[in-house]
Amino acid sequence: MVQAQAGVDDHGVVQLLMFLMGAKPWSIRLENVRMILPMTRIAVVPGTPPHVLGVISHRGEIIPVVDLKELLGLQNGKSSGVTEERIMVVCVEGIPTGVGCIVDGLLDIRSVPASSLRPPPSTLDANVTQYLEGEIPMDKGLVGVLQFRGLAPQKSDKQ
Amino acid sequence: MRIAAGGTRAKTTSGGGAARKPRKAEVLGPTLEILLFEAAGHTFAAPVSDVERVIKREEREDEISAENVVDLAQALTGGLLQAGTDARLIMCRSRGTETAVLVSSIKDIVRVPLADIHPLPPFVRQALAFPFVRRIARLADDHLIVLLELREIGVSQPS
Repeated sequence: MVQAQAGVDDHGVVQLLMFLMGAKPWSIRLENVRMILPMTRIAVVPGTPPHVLGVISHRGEIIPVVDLKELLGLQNGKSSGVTEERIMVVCVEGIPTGVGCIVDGLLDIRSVPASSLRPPPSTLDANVTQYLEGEIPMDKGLVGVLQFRGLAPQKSDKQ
Repeated sequence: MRIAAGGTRAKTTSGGGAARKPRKAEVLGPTLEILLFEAAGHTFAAPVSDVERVIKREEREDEISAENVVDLAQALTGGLLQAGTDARLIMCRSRGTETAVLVSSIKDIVRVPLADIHPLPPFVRQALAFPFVRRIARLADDHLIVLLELREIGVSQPS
């Protein structure tokens, strides 16, 4: 089991924001989400790697936006069919604005025992595991719990 | 700077596209005049001070030698040449050499308060392959436009 960490309340419960990406539900600790924004116009920045979509402006802040599916290498997966895309701005170490992540839609917020959080399986692709805190059993199977504290972009190879 | 037929004159309000509401900041503080243009399906901008003149693409043979022409769409995405009738050459001079940057069309000239010119967020900057992409302008409708340092494009492109 993963050790209980910050964000776990006195009763050993952690709050997870559930969201859709591709055909699967995913989750992230609510404390790691700075805000949720409706889909907005993204200023494309040329010369960035494919997962860096560009930047958005929100209340005076310029926030970088990444394509989560591209970042995790899930771009060839099934589509969720949901068209309620949102920009989920997540907390990232050293980036005060956070980083916006495109998700296909929001599901709900679940309170789960921190003790039920399992380490990520070793069989998963490294692209995913570096951003996976663990997995948690839900109604229809295991749901990945993402974390982006150490997110740093790879330099684009375009020249 | 001279603008050829089909070009545009500077507006006294800040903003691009449909929304061009006057802003208090532009009359109160210093501004930067920027040229908005389209390339590779996106709108970009460059400081007018970097531009010597804008000419129609057909004038190219008389005006400049072909080796000094940089097709911006091709430089940014490796895509097709911009051959439409609205295509223009933005002429700029760097280290004594005149370079023509080919764009799909010229859209506008606007004044933006210097306070609305920002460096790209470090997260995006670290990932950039192009040294001529460094700044972003926030227009009147909160629309962000990437500023290109045109005088560096010819220098950084392999001939």
